[in-house]
Formats: sequence, C-alpha cells, structure tokens
Amino acid sequence: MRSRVLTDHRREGKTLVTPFNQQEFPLQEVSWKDDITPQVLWIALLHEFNGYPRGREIALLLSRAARLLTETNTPNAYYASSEYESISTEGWEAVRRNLRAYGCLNRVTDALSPLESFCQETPFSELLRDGPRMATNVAEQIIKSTVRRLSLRRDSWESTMVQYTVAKIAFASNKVKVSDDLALADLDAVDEYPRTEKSAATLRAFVTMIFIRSEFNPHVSSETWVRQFWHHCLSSTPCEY
Amino acid sequence: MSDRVDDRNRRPDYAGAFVYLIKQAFFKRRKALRKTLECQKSSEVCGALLARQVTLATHLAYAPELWTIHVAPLIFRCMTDININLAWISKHAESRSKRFIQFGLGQAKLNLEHRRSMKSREGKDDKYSQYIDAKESWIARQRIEELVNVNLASSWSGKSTREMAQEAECEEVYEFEYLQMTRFSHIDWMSIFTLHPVTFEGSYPNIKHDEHQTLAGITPVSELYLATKMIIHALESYDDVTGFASNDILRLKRFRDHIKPIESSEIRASFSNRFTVQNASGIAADDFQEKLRQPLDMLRGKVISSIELRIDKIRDVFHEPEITAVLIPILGRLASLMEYYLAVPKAWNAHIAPIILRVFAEIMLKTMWLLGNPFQRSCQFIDASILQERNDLLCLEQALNVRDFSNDVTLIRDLKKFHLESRERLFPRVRIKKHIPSLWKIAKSGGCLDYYNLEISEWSACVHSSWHHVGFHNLIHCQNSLHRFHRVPTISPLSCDRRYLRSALECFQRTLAVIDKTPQFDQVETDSSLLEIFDDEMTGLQTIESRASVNLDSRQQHLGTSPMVHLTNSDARRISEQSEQIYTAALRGDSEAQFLLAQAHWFEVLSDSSPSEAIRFLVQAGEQGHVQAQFQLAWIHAEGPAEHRDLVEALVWLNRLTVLARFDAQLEDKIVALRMDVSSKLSVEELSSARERALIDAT
Repeated sequence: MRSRVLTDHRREGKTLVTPFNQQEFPLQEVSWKDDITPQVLWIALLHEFNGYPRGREIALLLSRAARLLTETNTPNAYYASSEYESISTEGWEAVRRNLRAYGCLNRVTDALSPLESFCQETPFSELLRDGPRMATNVAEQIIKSTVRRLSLRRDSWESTMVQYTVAKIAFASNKVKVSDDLALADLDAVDEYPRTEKSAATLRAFVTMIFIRSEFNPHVSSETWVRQFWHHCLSSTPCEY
Repeated sequence: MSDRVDDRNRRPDYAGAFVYLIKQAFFKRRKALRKTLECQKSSEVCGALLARQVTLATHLAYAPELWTIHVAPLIFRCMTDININLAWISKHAESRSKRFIQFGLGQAKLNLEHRRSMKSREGKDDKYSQYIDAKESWIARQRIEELVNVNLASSWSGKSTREMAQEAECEEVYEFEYLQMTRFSHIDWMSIFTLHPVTFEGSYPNIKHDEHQTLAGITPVSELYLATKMIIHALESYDDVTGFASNDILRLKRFRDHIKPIESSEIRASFSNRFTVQNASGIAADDFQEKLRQPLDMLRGKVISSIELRIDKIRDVFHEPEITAVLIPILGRLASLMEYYLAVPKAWNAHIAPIILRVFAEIMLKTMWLLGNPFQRSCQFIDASILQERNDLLCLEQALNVRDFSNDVTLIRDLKKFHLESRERLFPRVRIKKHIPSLWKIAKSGGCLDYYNLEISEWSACVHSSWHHVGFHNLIHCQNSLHRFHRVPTISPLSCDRRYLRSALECFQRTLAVIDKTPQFDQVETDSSLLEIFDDEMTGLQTIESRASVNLDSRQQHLGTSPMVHLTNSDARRISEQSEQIYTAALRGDSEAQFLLAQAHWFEVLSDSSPSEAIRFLVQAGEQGHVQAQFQLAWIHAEGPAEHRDLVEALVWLNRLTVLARFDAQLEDKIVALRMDVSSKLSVEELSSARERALIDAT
C-alpha cells in the first residue's frame, strides 16, 4: 500500500525510491563536508585573510597564474587544491613570478601559510617554500575555525561565497560557457548576494551547474589530497566533546 | 526510621556499584575511540547502541520502582534487542552499520514527511515545527534528504530476530532473554493472562497494586543480574568491532557472579536514593514528584475508576468466557502500566517513556480490533497466543537437544511448559488459525493512521533502538571540525519531561473512547477528561516563573544595539534588583555577571551608567571567553558609536570569536559577515596584526 506521503517516490519491493535515485545515469555522491571542503579550503583562507571581494580576486589571479603555465594542454581549471599537485617546481617559480607581477604574492603566501604550517605537506608547498611560517598550534586554530565555518553549512554566507569563487574560476578558465541571452551569463549579479533575489537565484544556478558537471568530479573526489588532509586532522588533533 | 536507615547503611549499594562499573567501562571505550576514515560508520553505530544500552541500564538501576513484572520486561526486551543487533553487526561491522544507518534515515524521513503533511493540513506551526526543524537538520547532516530511500520492511537487516541471533551465535540470548521479555512487552494473551488471571467464578483481577511484583514469574534471576549480563554482552560485541581490550568486563563478570544468588528484594532494599534526576525546568525529579503528588493521586484515582467502570460494563454485556478472558486482562494491563507510569516520573523521558507508550498504543489498537467482533477475535487472540507459545517451546526444546545451555534456560523451559499446559486446559481447542493483523492495519481500518504514523512509529523506533532513535539521542558531534564532525557516543542524562505524561494520558483517553464506542454498550457515564485535569494542574506549575514588566524596547532602539545582543526585560529587572550582588560577582571575575553589568551600563539601566564602563566590563568578560561579550565588542568597534570605532580592534575580537564560538549557526553567519566587511577595509599588515593578536590572546 503506497503511503499518502512521498508520492513522488517509486516503490521497488519494500523500498520507496526517491526521484533522484531513479535516474538512468549513475550519480556519484560527493559530500560537501568530506570531499569538497579540503579542496576549496585555500579559497576560504584567501577570503578570510584578505576580506571580500579582494580575496576572490586574489584566488582568481592564483588560478590564472597556474593556468598560464599549461593553458594549451591541461584540463584543469585550478579551483580544487589537488589540481595544483601537478605543477612542477619550475612551474611554481613561474606562478610566483606572475603573482609578484600582479602584486599579490604576499597576500597569497600569508593567507595560505596556516595550511602549510599545519599540514606540512600540501599541494601549495612549493609556492610557500620561502613564505612565512607560524606555530603549529596557531595554524591549527586557524584551519580549525575555517573548516568549521566552511563545512558546517554549505548554505552559509561564507560557503556560498567560496562556491561563487569556484564558479568564477570555472568561467575564467573557459570550462563553463553560457549563451549571452541566459540569465546565467550575468554572473556579476551575484555580487549583490544576499541582498537581492536575483543574486540568490543566479548563484544557486551557478553552484548547481558547476558541481553537477562531471568533469569537476574527478578533482573534488581526488583521493590523495582529501584523504591526506583528513588523515592528518584525525591523527594529529584530539576529540572535543 | 533510624533503624531502617542503619539497616540500609549496612547493605552494599548494589545499584550504585553497578552504575559506577558500567559508566567506567563506557567512558574508557569512548576515550579510546578509534578515529579513522575507514570505520567511521561502525564506530558511530556500535557506539550509539552501546550508549543506548548503558543509558537504559542506568535508568533501570536508578529507578527500582520499575523493577516489576509490568515494566522491567519492556526495558529488558529493548536491551536484548540491542545485544542481538550489536552481535550481528559485529560480524560485518562497516557494511551492516551502513545498512542500519540507511534504514534509520529512511524511517526518520518518512516520519518527517507525515509531520510535514499534518502541519500543512492542520496549519498548527508550533505543534510540529520544532520537531520538523530538528529532524530536518539531523538528516541533512548525514545525507541529502532527496537521496534517502525509505525502506518499509519491518526489519532493518531483512532478517528475523531469531535468524540474526543464530547468525551471530547468540541463540541463548534469544531463547533465554528475548523470547521471555518480548511476550511481556506485547499484548499477548498468554502474558496478560499470567499477569491478570480471570477465574470465571465471579472473581476478577485486582487492578490495584499494593504489592511489588518482581520478575520471579518469568525468570529465576534478579533484575540487576539480568541487566549486568546484558551489559557484558553488549560490551563484548562492541569490543569485537573496535578491538578494545580491558579488564573491566572481568570486573563486571565478578559483580554479576556476586549478585546472582542475591534476591531481587534484597537488592531493592539496598537501593540508595542519592541519584538526582532533573526535569526540563531543572527541578529534581523527586521534588517534581512531590509537587505533582496531588494531581498525580487524582489522575491515578481517575484511571482506576475509569477502568473499573469499563470492566463492569464488559462483565454485564459479554458472557462468553473467551471475551472476558481477553478484554479484562487487557484492561488490567492498561491499569497496571498507567499506575506505574504515574508513580515514576523518572520514566518520563525520551529513553524509557516511548517504550511504555508503545504498549499503551498497542493496547488501544488491539482493543479496537477485538471489539470489532468480540467473540471471534477473542478466540483468535487466544489461539494465536497458544500457538505461538507452542512454537517457541518447540524451538527451545530443539535448541536444548542440540546445544548445552545454562540451567537458567532449562528453568525457563519448565516455567513455559507449566503456563502452556494450564492455559490449554482452560481453552483446549484451537479454532481459528488466522494471523492477528499488524498494528498498522488495525490503525488504518480504525481510522487512526495519522496517530500511528506520527506517534506510534516514533515510539517503535525507540523500542527497536533504530538509528532514527539512537543516532538522535545517543550521539553527539565531536566539536573538533578537523574530525569531519564525526559523532561520539553519549549517555543521556536522567531527566523527566511532563509531555510524556500527557502522551500517556492522551493514549489512555483514546482507549477509553474506543471501548465506549462499542455498540453493545449503553451510554457510559462520561468521565471528566484526564487531559483536562492534567492541563489544569500543569498550567499552575508553569506559571511559577514570574514575568518581568520593564519595557526596554524604546531604549534599545534609541541607543542602537548589535544584532545578537540585547537586554531582556527579566535581565533588566534582575540587574536593578540585585545590582550589588552582580557587581560583587563581576569584581570576583564572574564573566556572566561582567557581561550583565556591561549591558546595564550600555543600556543605561543603572543611575551611573557609562559606555566606557560598559566596554571595560565587556573586555573583562570577553577575555574570559564570553562569546556574546566578544561579539558585542567587535560590533561596537566596527559599527558602534563613532568615538569607539577601531577596525583592527574589531577584527581582533572577531578572530577570537571564530576560535571560541561553537556551533551557533545564527551567530556564526553574523560573525562571518561582519568580519568580511571589516577585513575588506584593512591593509594586509593590519590583517596580519589582528590575526596574530587574536591568536596570542586566545592561546
């Protein structure tokens, strides 16, 4: 007997299957908290240290500097931390030069130094090699509070802004294109978020589009950096309850 | 009196020792919790089930009033269920834990949907919103609701409890503990007739309980012995999953062996009533019970007289022995349970109450079904129970032929045989071999499906210790965000909440209404509603808190205030009435007093109010980690009056807040928005300086 509630669910044996799970194409589950947070932590750190929207501009410049190295033969947009693992030592030298030319090298290294000081080994290690270091316990506090704000709620203002920066990077790298006549083309409308309805609607559309695209999934679910990050966190810090 | 105290002092405090041992074992395991990405689910599920087991055992030990044949089997049945589940999960921990979670999430989603549907139909926001919000956020933290399938099967594992016990090699638990207890936790004729026998010679069961009835009728051991045995089993299964090794199980086994020969009555007499149970208002349960004595006595009297009235009606109207042998013991069971429930406010909490409430609901539904066709269904009810008992006995005999069990099982077998033979002599013929419909079907045909979907299914989740219940009540989030917010098991504190009393009275009232609708009955004299009595008495208790009448709204608007901080009327009244005490406490370093005093200065409640004094007290409170003080300081420096503006100082306080503030989503958002605003106005040097200062101060 079908329940009066959940009428959009399909009954298979004794199970009510949600419309999402009825799709023909396979869905790969990605957790914002577990899979994406370590990948976009660098953006959150840039936002936090430099304020907003300056943090977003600096994140765009860093991704742009990375793309300039391999623009012709890379599929990377450089929004996920693990994408930066593929950059060689020479490549990082060039990135450093570019950032210096943009006038934001110190802002990047200062903002990302807690990540490097806490984890010791990160995809940005080469960039931060000669950068500032801070005490591990201080770095841990910064990473802890940033991760908490970012992963606790995907719809918080800060998480939303990080997702918006990811969308901006995707557009800047030409990974995503939309027709001029679509509302989605008006990306700058998001700058008004959360003050206007339009900004919220546009942002929702962007975020959905970006994170549903299959070419982004290999990056966010990349085993190496994500697992390395969480293993380090679990093993080096005590429980708090 | 003094003799009694002396006598008690000479006895060992068995319950106290038991609680100490099990809590120690639990906390040791929690401390040693393995934190790995690979076994997060099994660690959470097994931890939650163990925590539930310890919670139930603790509640039981704290309330010897519950050690009766009427209530204890209900709790023991839950504990046995947990043991079988834990043992079965431990064989393939991670995959089975995942299945356990998925099933529980589905149940939670279904219940949530029913409540949403009721909310939209009834439009009563207050009644459902709190529950809906809590469950929505609980599900969302684990999985996107749109991806949660709903499994409607009755068992999460796809197997019966017997099959699970066999696969987990704990058949003795099933035969000795589960089967015994489960018959008494359902409305099964064999068990209710044992508790409330009808003799048919004009003698009817005495529904008033003047004597304490122990479990002696169904098991040869004491309640505390049984609880210890169950806890040991749960700990062993948990240790199988986690690889934890300790000698505390050995200590518990020694304790178990020590108390085995001790009579239940002696253990009860040793009980030291030094445990404090708090209700939602912070009043100790015993005080609460004292305050409630009069209304509870009144309710108890009403319950007994209502049941007696209905029993008289049944005797007058129905003359077939089958009908009276079924309906009267059912009403006897209802009266007994209500009596115990009313007498023990310690049971009115999220862990014990739903277990008892579910039995009330089963009584209501089965009575409804029986009265639909009294003679035929009463025969069916008796036959089904006798058949079930025969089958259980047969399985037990077979198990005894194959394996060696302890003497306890042999004793149980003999007891069962005795009861079965006496019942078969009473009603020798098997007439109707039809299954009794499920509670869901009865509820559907009886027009109370909403009640089933909203309440009874929730209570059932508690009885079966589903993820829907244990995940919600027996796990807390580790507040270290670097641990991916994994959850750690927790023992729930003892508490009592009068809403659970209301639920019981509501169910009782429904049962009476079901009986009164019976076509064979003339109009039954109307009882005054138990719910009305309850509501009248409770309103008196709720108005204990006085209401402050100082209106500060206009003053707050005039001065301007941060979005998170405002002075409530009661605070203002308290400050003006107790300013000296608050001032002294603030000088002694009490951060709450410092914060209150700062508010008094800021909002000009005191005659010598000054903003600089307000900031001085806010800094003192903020430096001690008072979150609201820190936020107010940040706001004053960022957006407050011009003379106090200092963006670097604002950021220092905001950065300290992000280190110290805990999961308050509303506060978190405001902090982030304010910090982003402040950060964008500062240079890189100023930002670095603010961060360093905040962290140095905080560490």
